[in-house]
This record gives sequence, C-alpha cells and structure tokens, in this order.
Amino acid sequence: MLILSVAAVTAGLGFDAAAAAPSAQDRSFLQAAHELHLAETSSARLALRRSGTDEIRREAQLFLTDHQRLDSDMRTVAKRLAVPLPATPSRAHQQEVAQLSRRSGAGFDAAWLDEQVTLHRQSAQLGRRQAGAGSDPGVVALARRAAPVLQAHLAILQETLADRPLRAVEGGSSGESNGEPARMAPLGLGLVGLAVILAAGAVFVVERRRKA
Amino acid sequence: MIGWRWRGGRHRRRPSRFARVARVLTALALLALAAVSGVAGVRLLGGIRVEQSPETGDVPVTMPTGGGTPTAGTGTPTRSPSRAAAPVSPRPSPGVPVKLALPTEKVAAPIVPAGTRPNGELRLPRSPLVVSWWVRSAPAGDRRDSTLIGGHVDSAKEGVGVLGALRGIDIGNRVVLTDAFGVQHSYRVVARRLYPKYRLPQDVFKVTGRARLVLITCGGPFDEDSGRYRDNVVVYALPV
Repeated sequence: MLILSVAAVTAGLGFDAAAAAPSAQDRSFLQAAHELHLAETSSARLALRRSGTDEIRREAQLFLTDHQRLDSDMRTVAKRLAVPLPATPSRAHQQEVAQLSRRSGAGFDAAWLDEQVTLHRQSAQLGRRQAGAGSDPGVVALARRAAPVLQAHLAILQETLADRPLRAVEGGSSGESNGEPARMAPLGLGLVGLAVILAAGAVFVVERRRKA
Repeated sequence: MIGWRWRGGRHRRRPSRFARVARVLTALALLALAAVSGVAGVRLLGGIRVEQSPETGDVPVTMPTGGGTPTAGTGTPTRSPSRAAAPVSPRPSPGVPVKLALPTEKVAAPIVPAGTRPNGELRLPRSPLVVSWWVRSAPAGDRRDSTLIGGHVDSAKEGVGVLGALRGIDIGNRVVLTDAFGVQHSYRVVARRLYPKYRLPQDVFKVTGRARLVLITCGGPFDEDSGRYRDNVVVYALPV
C-alpha cells in the first residue's frame, strides 16, 4: 500500500529529481499540514489509551491510520522538494494534549471531540488554500487527496457530537421499483387458511341447525 | 361449547356427510394455518426480534468459498501444509468508504458520508446513483463493528438506482467497498430481508459488536398517495 501510494504520488508529480524550488505557499502548506497530522495522530493515540467509549475509540483508530497514510505521502513529497518538516506537534498542541490527558470518562470524550473538530477544520482550511494557490502539482495533489478524508472525519465528529440515533431509511421516491411483496406470501396464505376455517365453521353451524 | 353438546348430548346422532366434510376441511385448514404461521414466524417475526440476529434465520451464514479479483479482504494466504510458513499479509486498515460495487450485478456507486436528520432518518443524496455511508457506523473493512450504507432505490428523474439491485441479489454474491486510499474491502451477502418500515428491527442500525455490512433501501409496494414505499430491503454481508 505504501509502495503504491508513493508510486502514485511520484507519478502524479511527473517526478523530476531536479524539480524547481517549492513556492512559499507549497512550503508553508507542507510544514503546517504535517504538524497538524502529528497533532491529530498524537490525539488519536491518547483517545485509544484514555477513552472507554467504543465509538470514540473506533473514530480514533480511523483518524490515526488515515492521518498516518496522508502524512506518509506528505513526507515523501517534502523529501523530494527538500522541505524540512517539524518532528513534533506545535507547543500549543502539546499543551492541549497535556490538558486532555488529565480528563477522563465523558469529560475526556467531549473535550477530545471538540479538539478534533478544531484540528480537522484547520486541516481542511489549509487544504482548500493549497488547492487554490499551490504551485507544485504534487503538493496540490496531496491537498486534493486529503479533502474527502477530512470531510468524512468532520462529518463523523459532527454527528457524534449531535448524538442523534438512526431510526429509519426512506430510500425511494418514484415508484419505479414498485412491487415484489414476495416475502409476504406466507402471511397471505395464512389469511386464506383463516378464511377456509371460518367458511367451514359456518357450513358446519348451518348444517347442524338444519338437522336440528 | 356447541360442538361438545352435540357430541355428548342425549340427542346424539350420526353427523351428515356434509358436516363430516366440513369437519375434515376445518382440521386441514387448522393444520395449514399452523404450518404457514410457523413459516411466516421464521421469515417475518423472527427477523424483527431485537435480541435475535436478523441475519441468522432461514439463510445460510456460512461463508461461501470462491475466487474473484484479489482485494484487501482476500489477502490472507490459504492454509496448507506445504505453505505453513508462508507470510501472512496484514489485514488492511479500515478506511472511509468512497465507492460501492456489486460485481455480479455489474453496478457501482460513489459513496458520500452522511448523518441523520432530526427525525432519525438517514440523510440520502437526491440521486439514486449515489449512496450514503452513515458516519456513525464502522468504516469499510472494520473487523469489529457494523458498516451501514443506504440509498434511494429510485427517483422520478433518474429511474431505478444502484440499490435497486438489492431486490434480486443472491446469497454469496460479492460486495466491494473501496476506501479513500483505494483499498478494496470485500464482503459476501449472507441474507436479504424485506421488512415493513414500521417493523424495521432497530438491530439493523446497531453498530458495535458485529463485523458486517448492512445495505438498506426501499422496496415492496409503492404508495402513490404518500410517495413512499411500504418496506425496506435490507441486505447483510460479512467481511471476506
């Protein structure tokens, strides 16, 4: 998978060892987005350790693997463009994680969700700016590829915060697929059986009265 | 009471041929009703009990064997004495699903992430050619929890959609979810159900504790007045 991703990234670039120096926008995006990936992975790891909620742990696992994948591609491109990347999340985020790690239970889950929303909004905003103003096609491709992942993560977070249960699916509006009550057939047969019993009973009563 | 008095009373007499036929008919009809109720119970009522798994009823749950194009879900090598030491491919990580494919039915659709409306309905794209992944369900390829995909069966503008294929999908057919990183996660259909919407088991929406894929759309007769279908078609598939 990693090999495939790297191949895709280099192919998307039209890889050239002597590529031109990246623009300030490309450089800034690579560094800021990488820092956010680090922040998101460290937060996700914390949730896997601290949260006792299945849903939060599932989301943390998904975010962890997705941001690792996105960051892996990003490091490959940064290396090619000789853009140095930070080794740790920002100091502000490290303080945020320290505060989060002092919480537990529902308080931790709520604070973690809020923090994740903030981080993902920042990432999505960086990506939009890069997609519009980036120069290097490889760096722009990174931003474009991350967009649907970040959009899905944000949707997950917003729905978890809204905490609305799913109760129904209303999936049709034209009647084009009308028909096929095949699975209801046993019920229909049952009604026929009931009708036969009632008819036989009626015949029986009439006959008996006639004899009497 | 009438029957008892007739049999045991002082005016006991041999029933007419007509009455005997009626009694035989009644007995046969009772037997038929009992048998039919049993079948209906298994097929319908059995499926709507929350505590009973709806995908285990009158359908096979054993995973069928079969080939197909290599996907992430089929990466584990077959166990055999000569290949006992062969390296085992790691399971691919679950990912955000972006594409649904039913290879046998030759249909595919993009997937969008979706939540619920305030009334508890799944938000669906207008087009029946696009389907929704409920974002509070598990991602594609999850090995612990349930993934839920829903969509319109049709629309007035675009006719029958991709999930129209669920009405006739066979047990054992493949379902493939592709995630945002291009990894394919394969499933096999193990059950297909038609539930009246008012009896849709809430277990369909249960996420935790069972690795499966639930595909859901509308089906059954269409009510012209309300503009809605009476039933939900639900297809259950297990990861390969």
